[in-house]
Amino acid sequence: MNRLLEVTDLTVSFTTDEGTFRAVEGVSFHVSPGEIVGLVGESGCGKSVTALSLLRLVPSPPGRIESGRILFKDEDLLRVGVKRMQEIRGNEISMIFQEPTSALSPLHRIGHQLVEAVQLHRAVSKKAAWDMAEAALKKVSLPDVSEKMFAYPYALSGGMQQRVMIAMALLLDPDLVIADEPTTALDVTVQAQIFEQLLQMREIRTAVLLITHDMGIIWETCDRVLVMYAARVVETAEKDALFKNPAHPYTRALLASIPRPVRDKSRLQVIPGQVPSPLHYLSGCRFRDRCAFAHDRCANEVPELRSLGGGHRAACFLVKGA
Amino acid sequence: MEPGDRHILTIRDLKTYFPVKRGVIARTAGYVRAVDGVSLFMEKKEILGLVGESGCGKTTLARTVLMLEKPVSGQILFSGKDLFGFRRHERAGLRKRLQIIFQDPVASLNPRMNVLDIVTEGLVQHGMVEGDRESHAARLLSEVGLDKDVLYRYPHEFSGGQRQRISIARAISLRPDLIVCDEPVSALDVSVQAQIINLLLALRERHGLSYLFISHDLSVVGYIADRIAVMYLGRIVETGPAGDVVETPKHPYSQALLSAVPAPGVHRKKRIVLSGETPSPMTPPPGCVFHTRCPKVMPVCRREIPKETVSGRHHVWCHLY
Repeated sequence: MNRLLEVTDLTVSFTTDEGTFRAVEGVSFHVSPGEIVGLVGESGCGKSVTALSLLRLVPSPPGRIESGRILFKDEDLLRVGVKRMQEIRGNEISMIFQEPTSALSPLHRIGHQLVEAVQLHRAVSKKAAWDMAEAALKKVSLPDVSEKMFAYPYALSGGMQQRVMIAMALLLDPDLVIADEPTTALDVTVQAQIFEQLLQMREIRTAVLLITHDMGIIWETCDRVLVMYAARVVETAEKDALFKNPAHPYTRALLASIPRPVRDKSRLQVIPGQVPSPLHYLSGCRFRDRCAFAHDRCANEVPELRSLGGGHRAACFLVKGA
Repeated sequence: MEPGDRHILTIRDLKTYFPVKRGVIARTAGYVRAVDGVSLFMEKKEILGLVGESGCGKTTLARTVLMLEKPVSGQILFSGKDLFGFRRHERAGLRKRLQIIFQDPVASLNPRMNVLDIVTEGLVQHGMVEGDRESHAARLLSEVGLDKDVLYRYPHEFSGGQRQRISIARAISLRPDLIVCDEPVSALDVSVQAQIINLLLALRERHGLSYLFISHDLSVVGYIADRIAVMYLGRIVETGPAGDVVETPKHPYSQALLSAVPAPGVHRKKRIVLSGETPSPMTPPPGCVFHTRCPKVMPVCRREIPKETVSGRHHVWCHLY
């Protein structure tokens, strides 16, 4: 089995006072064991909703998974019962959230929270669970582990809290870890420490789905990348191919608009306009109003993902198929 | 040449402490040394990037420059005049010349005021309105690339990037000399971030502004700034021309900070991962404040505060040099 997770044609809609819109539309991708796959896009592009759908955590109502298939180890997660889903969450698939402060309970000690997670899924004594928790915290190089087990989350810095979250996510040897902007709230030097942890996961064959808005983070950590824009995947490729040879105008513009630490005297390239609201998506290609290469066809037809060879695919009419 | 001629801002050995109160009678139990002996200067029309991680004191330093905090010692010269040597009514005139753009464009715009009121509030306050407010506001909005149709709209009707443009219009309304930009693009999407950075650069050219540009994002600072100052635990550890600091950082902290910045498409040298956490600013370590985490620590670092070493325009405070 070389596909751990296979998502096909996932569509998720939300109903609000202002109308119904699709936050995720026809998204397909796969993750192999031990692979780090990046899902990158700007705010509101649907990347977090995609991640939450995998664990069926989309709040419903207002959210609804309209259609699609999420095969995880040959089991369709959209069809399994509630009981089975609970077994999977935190055990086979676990999640690291952006804000450790709000993801950890402020009322319980760190040790208690980790032990609870173990005992929920494994029939082990409290003593054994405690040892597992300590071992997990040691693995993420938290200092003074035996002391920290008795600490409340507020007593830890943001970086340490995030390491506790990672320890919790790895506690039960999951096959897949979903990390939703795991370092956005952290300083760069702490971010560097967290990257080291993520890269170590690859060695223990744990797959990671990393959600981020930061192309730099993608470059540092991922094997393969999906670029999302306005609820759809617009480009997918191996990391090196994407950075060397971005095919979709959005990906290209996004890469060109990142400030580099060293300034060449040219002005930073700008994507005109702004990220569209999901209530007002355009017909055809949704990037066309900000695209320098838009033509008539872009308004009338939705571009499909076309292959450029080697698993590199982009949803743009300008792409010459391989 | 007197520094006042060339320098818009000169900071000398500035210290800003906050008392920490403990117990029922609120006894002062110690001080948070947010800014602990900072000396810096800024030239006219210069963009000085101030980088450092959360809690290093960069925002407190900026607030002290804006006279929003009172220093316990040290001096700030603005156009050659001591900011804290003025009487109250004289300060009002200075405040006009010092403005700020905040990080969060949602929290920094009053939701009950429309765009017209927001961008002209300062002009009214300082009695600088000639003719009607609408024409002033329309001119300011066109400076920042917004249409005058938006005058009667409220902040919630705008996207993050547009709100930041409104903040910028408000900041330039009083024709300031120096604008403190406190993480002005950190809350924005990448594609919008580039628009705001270009706007700030264009306004600098047009109006001869100086920016004290605070950010934790070294890619942004390296791009926009002329000179960079790196701050750690209340002190400046390195300053120099942006290119020099980014390409050949000298202080081990700057080296670690820069090696940790992901730069897409660039195959990097080994990332320097710092161990441990930033010490508390209530009890900063003796000697060099960075010695507890420094990969190149020597015995002298634990005892003596490093002195300034200058090579060209590049200054570093480290015992290695």
